[in-house]
Amino acid sequence: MKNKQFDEDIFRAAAETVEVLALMSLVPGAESAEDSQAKRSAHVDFTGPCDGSLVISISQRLLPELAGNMLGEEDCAECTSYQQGDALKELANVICGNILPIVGGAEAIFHVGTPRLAEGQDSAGARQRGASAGGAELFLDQGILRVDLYINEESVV
Amino acid sequence: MSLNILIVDDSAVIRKMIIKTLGLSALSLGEVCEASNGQEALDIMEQRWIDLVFADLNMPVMDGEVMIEKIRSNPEWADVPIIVVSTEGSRTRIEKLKSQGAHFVHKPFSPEQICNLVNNLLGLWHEKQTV
Repeated sequence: MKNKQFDEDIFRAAAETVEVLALMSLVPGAESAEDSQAKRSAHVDFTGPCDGSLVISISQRLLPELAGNMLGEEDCAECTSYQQGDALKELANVICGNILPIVGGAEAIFHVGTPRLAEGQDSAGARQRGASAGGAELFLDQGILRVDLYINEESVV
Repeated sequence: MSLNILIVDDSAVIRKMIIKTLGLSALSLGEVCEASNGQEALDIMEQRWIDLVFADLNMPVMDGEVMIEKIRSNPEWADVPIIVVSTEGSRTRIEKLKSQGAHFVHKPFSPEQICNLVNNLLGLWHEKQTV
């Protein structure tokens, strides 16, 4: 099910979302960077022409900046943990919404569930449905954003 | 004249982003109300006059599509401008929303996109008032 094209599409959708919604730029040439920071994750499930999940995982240090930028706060420390979680969920929601027309076509109608934060500190804590269909890593100043798409192969129409 | 705005989205972050963006537009803001789903939005509209609605589609309790149908089927609210701010990518769904008179802004959105649309709507609204 792994699709190389999806990797590129996921990268493009995630990069545009981060740049437009959170006004954050990618760091060029950081493809091999290691990131040992703690992570926070969120996932959003979808059903339609195929069922699956989109899971995003972000470096803990990156999250306050992301939320602060989305909210237009000059001081990232002003953002509460709730706001940071809400920003992460919305990021998952927007990236997922931009990937689905690529997965199912422009006419396809998907039902996108409510985004949820993972229980654990890393992406393993996020519920995953189906097999990995693609993924991408985005390198930003303060850390890494990882996006993974899972599709339930049995659901593909 | 100040306009009362209703922002309907289950994400508090998006509601705040839209409020901040409206501060950059030419809109003279009256009361700004927030709702986290369609039912809450209808309850607010029962209580006070709303001039412009911003709405997400995917929300718990009552989604944006059902909410828009209910707004349009109420003669008092049938002409209230609605701007859908959503990740929706299905042409079929977007066309249906447009046929109900809703305007559409795709997420991720820039403040300029919202401002331009609001300013255009505001211009149309002023024209309507002066005819």
